[in-house]
Formats: sequence, structure tokens, C-alpha cells
Amino acid sequence: MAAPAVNGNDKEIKFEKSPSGWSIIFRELMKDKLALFSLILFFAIVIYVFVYSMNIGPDQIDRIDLKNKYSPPNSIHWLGTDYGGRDVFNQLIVGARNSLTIAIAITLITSAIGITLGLIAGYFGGLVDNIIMRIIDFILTLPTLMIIIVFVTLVPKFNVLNFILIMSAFYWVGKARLIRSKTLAERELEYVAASKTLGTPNRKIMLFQVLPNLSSIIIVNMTLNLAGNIGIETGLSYLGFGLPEGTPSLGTLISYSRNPVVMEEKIWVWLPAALLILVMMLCINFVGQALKRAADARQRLG
Amino acid sequence: MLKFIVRRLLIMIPQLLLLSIIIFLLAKAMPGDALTGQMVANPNLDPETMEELREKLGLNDPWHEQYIRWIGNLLQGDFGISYVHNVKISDLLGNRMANTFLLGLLTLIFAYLIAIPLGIIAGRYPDSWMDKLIVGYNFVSYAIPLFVFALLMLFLFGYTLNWFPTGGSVDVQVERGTWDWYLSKLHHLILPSISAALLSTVGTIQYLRSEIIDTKLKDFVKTAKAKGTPERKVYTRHIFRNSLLPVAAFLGYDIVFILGGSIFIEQIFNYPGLGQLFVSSISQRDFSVVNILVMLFGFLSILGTLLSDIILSIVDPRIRID
Amino acid sequence: MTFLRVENLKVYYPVRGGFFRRVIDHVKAVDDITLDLQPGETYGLVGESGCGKTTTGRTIIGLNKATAGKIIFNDIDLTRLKRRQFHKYRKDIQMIFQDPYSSLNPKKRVIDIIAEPIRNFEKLSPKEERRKVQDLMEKVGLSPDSIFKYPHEFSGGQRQRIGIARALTVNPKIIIADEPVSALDVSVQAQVLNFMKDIQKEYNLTYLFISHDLGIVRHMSDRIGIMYKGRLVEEGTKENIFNQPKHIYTKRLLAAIPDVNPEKRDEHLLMRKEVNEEFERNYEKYFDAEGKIFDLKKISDTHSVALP
Repeated sequence: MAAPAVNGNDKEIKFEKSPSGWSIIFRELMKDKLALFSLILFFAIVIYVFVYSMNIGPDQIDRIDLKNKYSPPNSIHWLGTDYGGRDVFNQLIVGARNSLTIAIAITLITSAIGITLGLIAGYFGGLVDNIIMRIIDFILTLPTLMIIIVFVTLVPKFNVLNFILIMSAFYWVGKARLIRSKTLAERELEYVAASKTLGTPNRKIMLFQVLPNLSSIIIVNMTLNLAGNIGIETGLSYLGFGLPEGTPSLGTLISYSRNPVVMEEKIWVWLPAALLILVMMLCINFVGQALKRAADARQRLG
Repeated sequence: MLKFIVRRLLIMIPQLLLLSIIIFLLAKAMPGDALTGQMVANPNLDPETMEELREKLGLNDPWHEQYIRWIGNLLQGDFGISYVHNVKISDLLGNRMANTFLLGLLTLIFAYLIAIPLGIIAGRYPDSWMDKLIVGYNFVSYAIPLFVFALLMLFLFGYTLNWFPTGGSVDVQVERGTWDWYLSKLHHLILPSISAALLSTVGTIQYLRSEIIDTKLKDFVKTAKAKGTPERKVYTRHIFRNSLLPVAAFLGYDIVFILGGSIFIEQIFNYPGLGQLFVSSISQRDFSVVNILVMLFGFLSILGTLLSDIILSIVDPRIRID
Repeated sequence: MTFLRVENLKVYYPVRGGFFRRVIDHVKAVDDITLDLQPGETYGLVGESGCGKTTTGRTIIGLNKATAGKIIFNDIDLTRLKRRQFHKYRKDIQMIFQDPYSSLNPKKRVIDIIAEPIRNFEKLSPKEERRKVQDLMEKVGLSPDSIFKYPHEFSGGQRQRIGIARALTVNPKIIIADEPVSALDVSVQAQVLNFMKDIQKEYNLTYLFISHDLGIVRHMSDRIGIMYKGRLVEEGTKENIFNQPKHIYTKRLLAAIPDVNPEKRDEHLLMRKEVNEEFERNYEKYFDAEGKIFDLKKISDTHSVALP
């Protein structure tokens, strides 16, 4: 952030350059061993899942092998097979990839909407703020989960994109509210007034003056949101209202446990997915909390 | 004070109206209407009679007229009929509403029983090993998704250890109304409500902990200590009283949270409540029931938020806007 | 020659109340003020906190909206301009802010802070831009090598210099200085003030110097306006105000300046008593029936006072 306008390799530069906000946050993260470990573990999972899933064709997931129904873990099927004799490990990897991709997409979309509207509402105030806030307040009181489920069942030709859009339509509000309240505090600071007197247009003040001051809050919020979105997506898929048929999710694997026999005796089908969700959520949250501490100067480890 | 409550109540009216309009329009977008159930029961109805009936029931009127009629019926307690089961929705709701209410109540009780002592301990002895444990628990319970946690609880205590039943709300063999019947009901309730409660404590614990730590440094506490008030009394008389009041205000928000979670909890523990009814209705495309449930949950969430806002404004006059 | 004229300026804020939050009253932050700035002079605007002096300054530069009245600069009424049209005049009027801590964006490096107006008004290559910023840094007495530092690495006085450098980048004609030193240590106040005087000569600047500190205003200003409750109570040259104060409020302000000479302590005390007694005795003479301040009346070529 705040990249200087000169090109860095200019020879006559011998300026004293100070660490930017980002390197401070990074330094903090390095000091928190647990968070660092979580970060590495999470990225290891992500990379493994994405690389490995490239080798899995759709036929490898869907191939039904009724002779091998519910076979326990063995050398061919590392995590055994499900009711159709399909390989659980393959489903786990592809499901994790799908869940992650969707959660990331939702996080990005809700952030874009939330940051834009929050900035506008907080910065301009007045009527615009009033309208945006009324909408937010209303959506916040809705029984969101139920309405999403209703939408999911109503949308004709339901697909992954639809699912992402439906989720995003409801989950931007919290972020917008957060950004608004921070912008409200920020705009009272004199540097905003200064920018105005210096002839900087409002749009630029919002994006290049105010927004950088919210960056750490946004990063923390996005991290925690990513975890939250994985939870919501897998939860909906568990209930059967998430990803459409043929697009495995971690939630789908877990939903096989609704059959008491699977729950009790074929734990290889659902337990790995449940544990994978647990591990990912904990990792992301550890990183998020460490970022939160780093962003808050008072809580820095020193 | 009164002005705030009245204003807050007035805000609720457009919220409810908007909610009902959205739900009604969603309902119009849903396949099936009041005659679908009739058709299932009586497949020989010819299209002409159907059309006549439709006209008679007002299903061909403009949507706003239908909407007003629907709202009128709702207000009179007439929720309509289930298209799939062809029975009155109010009959369908009765028992399940009681079940969900019971589950929610127990969850709340457990949540406060866990959260308040833990919050106080963590706030009173910050950075002790107990505090670290509690903060750790808080962190984990914030991170874990409810359905995964509930599922693991069910697997462990229901299936593996066999301590609790794995589904239903009461043992069917026990005679209704007897002592054993109540015990069986409680037995069925404990695991789901504890599972939900364990994940509903984050806000309260965090709030209590930081509030107590902050209050300890306030001048009136220092004064009390300087006067020679015993440590115990300083806590019970000065600190807790100040910190516990706002916790009451979370009640409404907690209700909203628990309500949302009941969809997962009831589905996982196969507990016959409103959340489970919602999932099964939508799976069976029984949209008239779905509508009523969304409306009901929406109404309860708005009510819960209202409750918290009002309590909060009594406890902390600073947030009152008038 | 006048080149900035504030004419009958009013800035009111609505007070909402009642059940429907209708406007029930107004706070009159600035209530009918007229003043002229001559090129090259320093006009000191003095008053207690909340008297409307900062609002006046911020309205002139366009940060607040005028409820009524005119701000005439180069024969154009700035209050009537659309935002886009105002842009042209922005560079002519600049501001130095009171708080050097919040007026510099903490996430920006010094070069980005000082170059902000350049990027809005001029098209310079990165190299030219950097040269210009370095020149300005040197001019305000800071090391040109530190342009890639962040504001928090500078002291309050240094930060205020950065703020001044930023205001100077676009060669303004008028600078509104809103309590420019009140957030600084006394030890660096004089430094910054003298430096402001130096650049005034060098750039031929006109200052509107807003302050609550009469001592500082006396040091800086050619002419002084005394504000009270949103209105001017007295206006005149430095000598007019300090040697022949006419309004009781001016007298009270002057009496409140502490005297460093201990031998004159009793004399000073006596004077304060006298002023206080006069205030109580002759209250009606200075304020009308509603406690409002009268309109300014000329009592000499340079001296006006709000008397009936």
C-alpha cells in the first residue's frame, strides 16, 4: 500500500524507507507461532486440495461400483467408499475444493458490495446513509437461512453460480455495517477535510485516503468471513440445499451420516469431511485472530 | 424511555409488512396453490371445476387483493392448509411449536449456566490458567460450525456411548403425562440443547470477561477498595452488578441465534420441532407451510431484536436515541 | 484593495427534536459576519472555543456549507459555485489544520501527502514531482531524504511543517490557519509561528489566522476581529484592539492575558476587577434585550465595534 510514485530502482535513491503497515502485520504474524503454523497448514491443505483435484476427472468421482459398496479404507480407497462404491477420498478432495472456491467467491463478492456501500453510507451520511442503513437493518432481521433455502429450491436451473449469488445477496450486510461505522469515525479526522481542501475528489478520498486506513479491519473481517462462509455453505449442503447434485461438497459427505448405519458403522464416509472442516475453520480463525491482534496496536506482541 | 420503545415498536411495523410482502411474493413464485392439495386428494376433478373453485377462492384476483386477504387471515389465526398433507397448518404447528420452544428454553438456560460463571472467572482472574482455558474454549466454539459440532456430539454421546437417545422428542412407549414421560422428554432434550448451548456462549463470555476487567480499573471500584471493602464484596456489590446487567440485554439476540440454529439442531437430532418441519416441508414442496414458518421465524427474530434493543436501552441509557 | 470578502455570512445547524425529529431550532454557529482580507496581511480571528471562528474558516474554504451570505473571491461568490467550478479556486485558498496528528493520513508516506495537491492540479512526471516535494521539504526545514517516512515518525512541530508544505505546494494566495500551533509544545510554537511569517513574505501570502490565544494573535496579526457567540464584537488594527478596546468582551479577553511581570500583579488584579464590574453594571449597553450582540459600527477608519 501507499506505493511511492517513483520507481524503486532509481539509482540516486538513498532514502530512509520505513516499513509499511503490511510488513508490520506480517512481522506480528511471524511472532505468533500458533498462527504461523495454522497459516502454513491451511495453505498446505489448500494447495494439496487444488493440485490433487486437478488429477481427478468427474468420472472418477461418479463411477459407481456396487461390488465395493461401503468398503472400509484400504490401499486402493484410502478412505473407503460410500453407498455407491465411490471413492470417499476423491470426493473429499473435490468437495473441499468446491467448498473453498465457493467460500472464497462469496467472501470476495460480499466484501466488494459491503465495502462499497459501507464506504458510501459512512462517507456521505445523510439521505444515502439513511437508505442504505434501512436496507441493512431490514435484511439483518430476516430469517436469512430459511429465505436462502427457499430461494435455493425455487430458482429454476439451480447451479453453483446461482448459489453463490443467493448467498452473497444476504451476507454483505454485516460487512457494510462494519465498514460504515469505521468510515463514520474516519471521516471526522482532519486528513479527510485536508484532502477536500486540496482538491481531491470524494471518490478518490474514499478509495485512496479512507480505505487504506480500514485495510487491516477489512483483512481481519475477510479472513473470519471466509471461515464463516465455509461453515454456512457446508451446512446448507448438509441439509441438502447447498451445492447442486453432482457437485460434491464437504457438507454432502457429512450428510450421508443422516443414515444411522453410516453414522455408527461407516464413519470413514463422513468423519474425515467433518474433521477437515474443523481443521480448516480452526486454522483460518487462528490466523484471523492473530491478524486482529496485529492490526490493533495495543494488542501487539511487541 | 417510553418514547424510545414506542418509536422502536413503530419501526417494527414496516419491517413486518415488508417481510410479509416478500414472503407472499415468494409464495406466488412457488409452484402450487390452495387447490394442489385438493387435487391430490381427489384426482378426478376436471379442469373446469378447478377453474370455478379457483375463482371462488379468489385465486385469480390481483395479487394485492390476495395479499390483503392473506394478511387478514393470518391476523385472525387462520394460517391456511398444507397443500401436501391437506390439513390445517395450525394443527401441524401445535406440538412442534411446543417442542421447539422447550428446546430453545433449555438451550438458553444451559448457555447462561455455562457462560456466566466462565465469564466471571475469566474476568476475575485474567491470564490465569483457568482464563486461558476459557478463552481457548471460547475461541474454538466460535470457530466450529454448529452442525459439525452437533453431529460429533451425537456420534459420541448418542451412538458411541449410548448415553442419550439419537432422535425424537420422547419415548413413544411411555404413557403420556406420567412422570416417566416427562423424564423421557428431558432425556431427549439434553443432548441437543447442550450442543447448541455450548456454541452460544461466545458473546456473553467475551463481554463479561472484558467488562469485568475494565470495571476493575474504574474509580468507583478503587474507591470501594480504598474504603476497605472486602475483596469479595467489591466483586459482588460493585463489579458483577454493573457487568451482569447488560448480559440480560443479549437475551433477545441469543433467542434469534438459537432460533436460526434450531434448523440444524432439530435436523441432526431428528427432533420434531419447527426447524425440522421447515426442512421436511420444503423437501416435500409443501410451500404453504414453508411460508408460514418463514413468517413465524421472521416475526420471532424481529421480536427478539426488539426485546434486546429495549432491555439495552433500559440498562444503558446512552444508546437510546430520542 | 480587498480580495477576499466575507459578506453577511451565516452558518446555522438544525436542531432536531420531538417525536418525528423535525427541525425545532437552529444553532447559529456563525451569525451574520462580514470581514475583508487585504492582500499580504494577516487577519487574526479571535474568540473563545465554540464562538464560531473555526466554522467561519472552514466555510470560507468550502468544508462547511454557508446557510446565507457571500464569500467573494476575485469578484466571484464562492458559495454559489458548484463543486466542479469551485475546483479552480481551491488552489488559491489553502488551510493549515489545528491537529498535526489527525490532519496527516497515517497510512501515507510523506511524499504522497505533500504531492496530493500536485496530483490534483498539475501533471508532473514522478521525477519532477519528487524534486518538487524535496524542495518543499527543504523549504519547511525538514530533511529531503525523509520523504518516504510515515507521519508517525515525525514530531508534532515537524508534522505541522509537513502540513504547511502540503498547503504551499499549489502556490496559494490565502492560507487559513486554524489554531496552527495550539496542539504543539510551547517550545516549538514560536518556531512554527516565525517560520509562518517567513514564508508569508516569501510567497506573499495572506493569512486568516484563527486562534484563541491573544498573545499569539498579537505576534502574528495586522488586523484583528474578536468573535463572540457567532458574531463579531470588535474589529480593528492590532493597535486599535490592544490599546483602545471598546467592547466589554474585548476588554475581558485582554484582561485575561496573564501578566508575566510580578510587580504589576496588583495593578493587573485591579484592572480585572474593574472590567468585571463594568461588565455587570453596563451589560445592557453591550447586549440587546435578548442578549444578542449588536451590529458592528465604524468608530474610526480602521476600528469598528458592536455597540448600539
